[in-house]
Amino acid sequence: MPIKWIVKIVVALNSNTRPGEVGAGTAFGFLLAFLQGSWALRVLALTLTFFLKINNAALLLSLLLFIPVAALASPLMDLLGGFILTLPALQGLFTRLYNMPLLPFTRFNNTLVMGGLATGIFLWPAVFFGGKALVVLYRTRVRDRIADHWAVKWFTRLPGVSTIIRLVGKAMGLSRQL
Amino acid sequence: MSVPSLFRKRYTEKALQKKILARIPIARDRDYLEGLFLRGEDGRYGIDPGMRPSKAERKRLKSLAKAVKANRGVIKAPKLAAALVLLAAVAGGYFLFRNLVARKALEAGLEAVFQARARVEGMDFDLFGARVAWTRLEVADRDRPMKNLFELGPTRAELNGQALLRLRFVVETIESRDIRWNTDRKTSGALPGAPKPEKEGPGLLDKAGASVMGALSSVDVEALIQEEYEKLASPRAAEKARAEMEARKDALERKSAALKEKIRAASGPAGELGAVDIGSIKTPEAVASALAKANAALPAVRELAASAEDLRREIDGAVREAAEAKKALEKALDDDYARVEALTGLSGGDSVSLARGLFAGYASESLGVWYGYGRRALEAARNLTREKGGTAKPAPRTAFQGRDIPFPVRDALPRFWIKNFAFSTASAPLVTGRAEDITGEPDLVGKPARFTASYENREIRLGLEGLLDLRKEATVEADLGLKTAGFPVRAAPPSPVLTIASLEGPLELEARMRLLPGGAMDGRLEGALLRPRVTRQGKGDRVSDLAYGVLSGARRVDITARFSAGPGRGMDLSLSSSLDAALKEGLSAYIKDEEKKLKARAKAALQDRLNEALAENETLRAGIEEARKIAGGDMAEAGALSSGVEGKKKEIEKRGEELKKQAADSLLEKLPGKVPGKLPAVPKF
Repeated sequence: MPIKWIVKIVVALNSNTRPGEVGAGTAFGFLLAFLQGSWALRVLALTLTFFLKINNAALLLSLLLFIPVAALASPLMDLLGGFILTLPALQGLFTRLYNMPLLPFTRFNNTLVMGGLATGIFLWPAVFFGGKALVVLYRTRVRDRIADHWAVKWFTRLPGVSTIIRLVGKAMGLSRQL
Repeated sequence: MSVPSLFRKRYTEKALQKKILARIPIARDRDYLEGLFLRGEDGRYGIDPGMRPSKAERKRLKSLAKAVKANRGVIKAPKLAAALVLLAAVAGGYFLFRNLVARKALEAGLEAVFQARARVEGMDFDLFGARVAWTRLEVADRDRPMKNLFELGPTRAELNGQALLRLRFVVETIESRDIRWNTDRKTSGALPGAPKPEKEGPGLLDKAGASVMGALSSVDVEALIQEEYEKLASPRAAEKARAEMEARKDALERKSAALKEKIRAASGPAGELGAVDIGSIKTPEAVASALAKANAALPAVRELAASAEDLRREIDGAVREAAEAKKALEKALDDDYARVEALTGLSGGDSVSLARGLFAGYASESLGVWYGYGRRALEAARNLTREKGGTAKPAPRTAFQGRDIPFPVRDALPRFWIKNFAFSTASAPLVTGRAEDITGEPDLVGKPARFTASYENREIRLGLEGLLDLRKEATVEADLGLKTAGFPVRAAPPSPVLTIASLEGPLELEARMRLLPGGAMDGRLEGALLRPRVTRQGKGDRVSDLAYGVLSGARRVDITARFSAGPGRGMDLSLSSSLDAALKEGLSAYIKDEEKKLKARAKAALQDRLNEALAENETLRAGIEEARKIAGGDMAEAGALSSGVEGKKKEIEKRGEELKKQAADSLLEKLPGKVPGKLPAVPKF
């Protein structure tokens, strides 16, 4: 599966997919990875991605990448969540939320969930814009250099390789750029 | 056509930038496309209609058109449409299957609570209106699978929508018309794999149901003594006295034998000393020899005297103890006689209560039914607690699961709560009832479940009220009160009591029963059987005739009872009636006579049982007395020996003194001159 996602993200990077879609996919993968301990919030975020034009391969790869990061950062998330949930200024808000229908099922009152949620929301724009910038950077600075490099051209012209690329391209919907 | 339709259109400059070029992120593609669009005379941009693109160009244009379309907006319209379709399908499914799902859920819930088959018909569930209704609901009786515990006719329930959003099933009101219970079923209502029904209610009360009226005519004294023997004090007192006296007797015998031995040992030297003739002692050597014999015999006889004294004290103690044991035994016997007489007494108490004989069976059965219903209600409530309100088992904690910060909960609701439940029958007999606060989490509701019900059919009226309290701090789990008027009762003991086979009449009753934590119960009832009709069986004696006369002449029979039961013990039923006093008065002479006979028989029976032990004790006491007599002789002999030796020694010493004096006198007489009485004075220097 990850190979398929890698191929898809390579396709996305080299096709006319908007950089924002890849950035959003990466940011949502990051958010989902940090929403550990709350299936309700994860389902909610995943449902949102279902209706948005984001790059699913980027989402899945990002999720795969950030899950271990989130696991390692759990103690920090726990501390952060504990800090937020015990802030005196927010006690009224949290009490109101806790007494609202269905909201307690998100387990927002758990320190790990709240820490992950806060981190995910706070860093979401940074991951989004960072991902987007990387795609633009790749397309403007790297992509053409790779495509025009003599070694790549030589390699892609090899009889066997060109056939494979053509077939894979057909199968995966690769554009002619490859 | 070779160029995609998207590119065959003509655009203003602004539209071209916004709708086409801005949606191509790769600069090389964007530049390629921008080069194809040429400005026309009208100021609009379009691709040359005469353009004939190569195969590669056609492919590229097609790909670019696809990218332009794909990069339009941020919402996935097809997926959103699919989701809407899915939502519509769910909504359709809800309208199609909501009643089926709700019916299955309700049936499963009822089966879990009542442990028997449940069936719901005509279900109408409206989630958004927070309403549920059905035309018929039946729940089988777990213990009698071919009967229904209850049936509900058309019923309508209003739910709390807000609570539903919090996944709390709170029923504001349920109104049910046409309630029935104990109805027949065509199929078994037992659940597959359900345990076999236990015998309940009357089974517990069977013990109390045995008629004791028969005691009046035939008290089995021997059986009574046999039954009570273990509880009597005298057998234990007799056994204790026997053991003590036996021990004393053995000790006395041992000490007496030892004394005899000592007498025998001391009698030799003492005899030798006794044989010495004082008059024959003429010389100091003879005195010294006699004194030596006396001194040799003296320690043995002194020890003998001390042993004799010790034995005397021992015997006195044994005799005193035997007297005390006899007194204690006599007192225990008196107490036991009194106890046995009380057990056979006919002048009062429950043992000869006519009311108990006649009504115990009926009371036991009725109480058993109510006790059974009470226990069933408690059990159902507990099942409800387990099924709906049970505390969820906390998931095993692993590393970094975080901590749950508790926030104050306003208006905490239980998972399941019926606030008001009203029911009634559709036709006569008229039954109406109301139940409040039925929940699996009574601690959250903060009050017990309460219920009231009334039954009315012509002359018969019956009212029931009570509460079920499964809160942790509850001291009473259930409190049931019952009032009846005109309730037809037929009390028929298992066998006729004094030829009376049954007693019938309308009953006015007020009863209360409490079920306590741990399974115990207690309660009381006060009632009156009005205008009793008596059915007699067979021909009786004087007592039976009298009892029949009292009963048939009574206009009203008052009954009072107190009852209690608990796990591991039977039902204690204390039942009295105005009948007893009337019957007692009529039968007083007969009762006194019978009572006297019974008491004498009981005393004799007890004596028979104790005779052996008493006789054994008496023998032992006599044995101690005998030992006292025997030991008395030995002690006298020991005393005589001791005083004889002491006396002889004194005589020898006296004789020795005499001989000394005689020797001195003879020496003085033999001297040549007398020693001057006064010595001459010594001259002074």
